[in-house]
Amino acid sequence: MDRPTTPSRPPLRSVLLRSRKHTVLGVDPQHLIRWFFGGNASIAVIVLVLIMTFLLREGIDFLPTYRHELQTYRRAGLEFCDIIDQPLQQNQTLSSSLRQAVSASLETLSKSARDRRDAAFLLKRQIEDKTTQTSESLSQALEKTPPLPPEELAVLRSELQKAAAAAAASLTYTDLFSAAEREQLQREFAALTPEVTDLPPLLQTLAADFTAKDREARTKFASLVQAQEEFEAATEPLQEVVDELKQHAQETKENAVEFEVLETNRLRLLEAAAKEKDPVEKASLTKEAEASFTEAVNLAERIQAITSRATELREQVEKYALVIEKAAAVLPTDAGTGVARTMVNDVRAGIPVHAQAMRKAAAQLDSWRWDKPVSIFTVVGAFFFGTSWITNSSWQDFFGFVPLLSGSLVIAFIAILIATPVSVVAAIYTNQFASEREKELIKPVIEFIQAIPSVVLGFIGISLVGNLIKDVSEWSWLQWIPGFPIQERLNMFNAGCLLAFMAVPTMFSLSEDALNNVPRAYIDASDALGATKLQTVFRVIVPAGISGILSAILLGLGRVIGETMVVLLVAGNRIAIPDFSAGPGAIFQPAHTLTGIIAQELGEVSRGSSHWQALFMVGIVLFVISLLVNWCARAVARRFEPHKA
Amino acid sequence: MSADSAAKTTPPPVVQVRDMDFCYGASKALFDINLEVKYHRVTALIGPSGCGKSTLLRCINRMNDRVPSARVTKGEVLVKGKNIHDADVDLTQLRKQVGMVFQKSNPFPKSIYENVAYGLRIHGEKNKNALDEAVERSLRHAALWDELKDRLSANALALSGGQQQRLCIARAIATLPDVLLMDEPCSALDPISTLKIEELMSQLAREYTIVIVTHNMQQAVRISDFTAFLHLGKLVEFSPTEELFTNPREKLTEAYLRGTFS
Amino acid sequence: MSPVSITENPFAGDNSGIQKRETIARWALRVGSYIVVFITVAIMLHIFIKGAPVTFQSKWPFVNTQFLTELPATLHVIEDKQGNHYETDVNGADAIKKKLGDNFRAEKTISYSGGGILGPIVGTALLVIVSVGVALFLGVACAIYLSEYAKHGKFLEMVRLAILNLAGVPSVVFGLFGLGAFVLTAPVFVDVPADRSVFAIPLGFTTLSFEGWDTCVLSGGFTLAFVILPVIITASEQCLQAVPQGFRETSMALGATRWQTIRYSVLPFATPGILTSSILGIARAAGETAPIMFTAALAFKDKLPWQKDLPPLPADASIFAHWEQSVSRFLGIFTESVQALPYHIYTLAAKIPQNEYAERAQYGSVFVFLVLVASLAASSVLLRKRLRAKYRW
Repeated sequence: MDRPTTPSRPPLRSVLLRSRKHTVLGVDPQHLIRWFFGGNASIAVIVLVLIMTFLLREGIDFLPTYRHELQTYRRAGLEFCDIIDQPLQQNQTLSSSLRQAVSASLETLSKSARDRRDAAFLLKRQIEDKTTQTSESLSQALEKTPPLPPEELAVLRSELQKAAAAAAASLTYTDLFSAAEREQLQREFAALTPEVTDLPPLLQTLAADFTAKDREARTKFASLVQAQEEFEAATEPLQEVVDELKQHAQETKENAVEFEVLETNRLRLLEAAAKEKDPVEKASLTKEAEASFTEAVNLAERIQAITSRATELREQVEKYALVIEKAAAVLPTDAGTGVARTMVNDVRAGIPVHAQAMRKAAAQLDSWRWDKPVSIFTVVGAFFFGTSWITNSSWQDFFGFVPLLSGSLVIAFIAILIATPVSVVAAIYTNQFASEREKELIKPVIEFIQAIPSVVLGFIGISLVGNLIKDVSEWSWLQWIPGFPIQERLNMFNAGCLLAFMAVPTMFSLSEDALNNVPRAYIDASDALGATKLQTVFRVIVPAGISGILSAILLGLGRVIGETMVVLLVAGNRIAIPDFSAGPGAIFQPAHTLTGIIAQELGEVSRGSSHWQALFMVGIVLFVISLLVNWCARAVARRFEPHKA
Repeated sequence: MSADSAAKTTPPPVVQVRDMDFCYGASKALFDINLEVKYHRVTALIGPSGCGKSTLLRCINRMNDRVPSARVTKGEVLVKGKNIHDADVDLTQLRKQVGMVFQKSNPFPKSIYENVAYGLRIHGEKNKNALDEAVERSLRHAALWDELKDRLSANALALSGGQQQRLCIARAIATLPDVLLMDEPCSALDPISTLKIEELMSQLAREYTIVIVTHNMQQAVRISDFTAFLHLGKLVEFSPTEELFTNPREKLTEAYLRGTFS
Repeated sequence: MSPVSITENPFAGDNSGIQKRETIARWALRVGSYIVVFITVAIMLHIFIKGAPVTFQSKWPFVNTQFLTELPATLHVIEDKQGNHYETDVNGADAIKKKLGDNFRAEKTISYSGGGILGPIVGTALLVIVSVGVALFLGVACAIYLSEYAKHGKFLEMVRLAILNLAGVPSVVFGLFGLGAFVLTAPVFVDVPADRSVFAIPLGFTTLSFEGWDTCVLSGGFTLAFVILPVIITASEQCLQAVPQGFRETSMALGATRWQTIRYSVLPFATPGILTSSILGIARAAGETAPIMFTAALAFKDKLPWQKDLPPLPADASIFAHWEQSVSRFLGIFTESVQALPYHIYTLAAKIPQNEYAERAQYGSVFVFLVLVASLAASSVLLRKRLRAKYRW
C-alpha cells in the first residue's frame, strides 16, 4: 500500500461525466443498486432464519406426536410389561457371565484336548478347500447315470489323491501334535475321498478324547455347572407370564393404532363428502366412510386383563427372586481360573442387587395407572434424557437423545484431545522456529488437508485406519492399554482420529494467526531481558495468543461435532450409550452420532412420521449447538484480548 | 552527580565501541564508530532521524542480531572489557547484564508483579522471597512502589502510559544490569510523565550506567553527562554534555544545535 | 584507550542445561509438526498406489477409458472349473456362461463395482455448476455491499455475525434445510397443485405452487450454494478490500457515482481474485456429501441426465417443436436426480460387502475424486500466488 498510484487506470469513460438525473419509478437508480446489494447482504441472515424455520416446521410436531405415541404405549399396557421386563434383562447379563465362568472353568481341564481336536478339524477343512475342484468333479462323475467307466473314475480318483497328498504335504502342522501324529494326519488326509463320510481314525480319537475330558471337567465343577443351570431356569415361569402379558398388550396397541388410521380416514372421507356437491359422489363417499367405521378399542376393558394379573406377577417375581438368591448362596467359590473366580464373585454380588431391583419393580406395579396422562414435560424429558433410540421396533419406538449425544461427545472429545496438541505444536513451530523452506512445506500440506473431502477420509477410516488400529491392538507388548485387543474395527477411537485429522487445518491456521498477531513489542521486551527463544515463546508469545488458540480449539470442536460422513462411515453405528464401566477402553466401542443418525435414517422414513420429526429435532439441536459453539469461540476471543483493548 | 568519588576510583569504561562499521545487508548504517561509555554516567546519543542512534544503541546488547543480514563488519564492541561478539559470549547473559527500555512502553499482558519478576524467573530464580524482594526493590527504584504496592496482581496494561514506561524500567533493572539502554523512552509520553521519568533517570544514574537515545536536545542537556552526536551513520562529536552544547567543536554539531537542519 | 585486562568472561553461559533443553524442545516441536505432514503424505500415497492402477494402464492410451467413460454397473464375475475368473457385465455374463457350458462353476455379482464412474462425474459437475453459479451471484453481491456500501452499524454487525455462524452450521443440517426448503417447499409452475403444496398462487394459465422441486440437481445445487456461500463472501470481500482505496478516490473525484466507481474502478481489478478464490468454493461444493444426500443424489442410475426418453416427434414436426423439445431436454438435466462422486464413494464404502472387486472400484473412484478436488484446490492456490505477484499495488 506504499504507492497509491494506479499502474493501469481503468477506462473512465466519458459516459461517466455526462450528467444523468433520470429516475426509475421515481427512485434514484443509485438507491436501487444500493438496495439490491444490501438485500443480497442480508441473505446470510435470511438463510439462518430460514434454516431454523424449516427445521422447526418439520420437527416441532415431534413433541405432540411422540406424546401421543407414549400415551398409547401406556394405555395399551406396554409400559406395564416393561416395568418387569426391563430389569429382567439383567438376568441375561448375569447368566452370560456365569456361563463364561463355567466354560472357563471347564477349559482348565479340557482345553488342550479341545485345541487338538479343533486344530485337526481346521486342517481337514483346509485340505478340503484345496481339493474342492477335483473332489467336486469326482463326486459329480460318481453320481452320473449311467455310471462312467471305471477307468475314467480311476483317473479322477488318482487326480484327487494326488491333489490331496500335495495339499496335505503343504500344510503347516501345529506343535500340538507329536511328530508321529503329524505323519498319521498327513497320511489320513491324503486318503480323503468324497465317498467316505466317516472321520479318519485319528480325528475320531481326538474327538473322543475331548468328550471324555469335558465329562471329567463337568463332574469336577458339578456344583458350578448346576448353579448356572438353575439360575438360567429360574427365569422361565416369570418370563412366561410376562410374555403372555406382552402379547396381549401388543394386540391392544395394534388394534388401537389400526382404529386410529381407519378413523382418520373416515373423518377425511366425511369431510370430503360434506364439501362434495355432486349427490352421487357424495353418497358414494359417505358410504365409503361408513364402511371404514370400526368399533373403538375398549382400552379400559382390555387393560383389565393385564392389571388383574398384577398380583400373580408380583408373586412370580418374589418366587424368582427367592430362587436366584438361593442360587447365589450355593454358588461355589472354587472356579477353575482367576478370571472365572472374579466372574463368579461378580455374579454373586450382582444377584442380590438384581433381585432387589426386581422386587422394587414389582412394587411399582401397584402405583401404575393406565389412564394417567403423559405431560409434555415427560415427553421433553423422554427425548432429551431418554437412554434408548429404538426405531422400527415391533414393540415400541423410543426416541432418546442420550445415546447419540454421548457418541458425538465422546468422539469429539477424542478428536480434540488428539488434534489440539498436534495443531498447536505445529502452529508454534511453523510460526516461531521453522525456516522459510520448512514453512513452505508445512503450511501448504496442512492447508491441503482442508481440501480432502470428508467422505474420502471416511473411506480411509474403513479401509486403512480401522485395520491398522486393529492390528496394532493385537501386538502383545501393547496389551497393557485398556480395551486392547479391540473387538470392532469401526469404533469411536477410529472416528476420533480421523476427525482430529480433519480439525487440524482449522485449528492450525487459526492458532498460527493468533501467534502472528502477538505484538512485536512483547517479543522485543522478552529478548532484551535475555530470555532464550523457548522462554520467549512459552512465557510470552503463547500466553499472549492464548485467546486465539482457545477460540481456534472451539471452532475445531464445532467442525468436529458437525462432521457427518466420517462418523457415519467409521463410528460403527451402534446405537447405545458407550459402556463407560469398561474404563478408558470404552473409546474402542462403536457408537452412533447426532449427525450420523440423520444421514443414515432420514432417507428411509416417510415424511411426517414421528421418526422423521425426531430426526429433524436432532437437526434443530445440532443447529443450536453449532450456534452456541460459535458464540463461545467469539466470546473467548474477546475475553482475553489485552493487546487489542 | 558524585563527581568526586568517580574521580577517585576512575573505574574503566563499561562500554567501548572501537572502529565499528555496521551493515544492513549491503547498505552501511554506521561508519567507524568510536565511543566510550563511562561507569555510572548518563550518555546521550542525539542526532537527526535515521542517523543510526538506535542502531548503535542496539549494537550494545546485540538486539540487531534478530534482523537477518544485519552485522558488524569491522571493529568491535566491548562490554565490561569483553568483546560481545566472541564465540563464548552467551547472549542471554549479555542481555541480562545490559538492560533495555524501548520507545513505546511494552509491558507484558500479565500482572504488575509478573512483569517485574519475569527477568528473574527466566534466569532461574524460583525463590518466592527473593522474587518478592527484587520486585519491591525494582519498583521502589522506579518510583512506582508507593503507587502500586496494593495492586501488584493487577494487569499491567491497566496502568497509564507513564506508569507503564516506569514499569518497563523497573522490569529492566530487576535483573541488576550494569548498563541500561534507553531508546527514546519519553517520546510517546506527555510532559508530566516525561518529567517523572527524567527525575527517575538521574536517580538511577547513581547505580547504573545509562545510555539514552533521545530526540529532545533539552532532555539530553538536562539528564546526561556525556553526549554523542551522530549524523548519517558517523559519530561527529562525543564530549561532555556541557561542552558539546556550549562549545561544539564541529561545524556540523553547531548547525544541528542551532536548528539549521534536523 | 586502555584495554581492560580480561580475567574472566562476564557473559559465559552459566549452564549447558538450558542449551540442551532448548534443542530438545525445538526437536520435539519439529517432530510434532512433521507428524501431520507425514500422515497426510502417507494417506495420499496409499490412495495413489491403490487407485492409480485402476485409472491408468500400461498400454495406450494409458488411461483406463472404460473406467472414466462408462456408467456404473453391476459387475459379474464368472469362475470356470480351472479357476479362471472372467469379469463382465450383465450381457457379457450370459454369453460367457453359454460359451463355458459345462465348464461353468460359479457366478458372483458385485453391485456398482463394474463399468466406470462417468455418471457420478457428470452429476458432480452439474451440481457444482448450479451451486457455484448461485453462490457467486449472491456472494459477490453481498461482498460488494459489505466492502463498498456498508457503514458501521447494527446491520453490518448482524450480517457479519450471520456469515460467521453460517460457516459453522453442520453440513447435515444444510441437508435437512435443503430437504425442507427446496425439495418440499420451493415454488414451481404446475397445472394442478399437489396435495403437499404449502400454498398456491393461481396465475391464470398456470399455478405457482409451493410444492418443492423434488430431489434433483437444482435442489442439491441450491443447498450446496448456501454451504459455500460464507467461503465465497469472505474470499470476495478480501479481494475487493485489496483494491487500493486510491482507485476509488480517483474515480469519485472525477464525479463518478458509487456504482460507476465500483463497476469501472473496483470490480475489474477484483474479478480475477474473486474467480480464483471461488475455485476453492468449487472444491468444497464438489466434496460435500451430506447436503446432497437427501436433496439430489441417487445411489444408482443407468442413464446420464440428458438421456431421457421423450416421445419421438412426428417427421413433419415444426422447427418450433424441435426447439421446444431441445429446451425441455436441456431443462430436464436440472430437474433429474443424479449420481454424484462423493455419494458414489459413500455407497461403495458403506452399502456393499467388501471384496477385491469392490475395493478396486472404491480406490479408483476415490483416486479420481481426490485428483479432481485437489487439482482444483491447488490451481486456486497457485493462481492466487501468481495474481498476487502480478497485482502489486
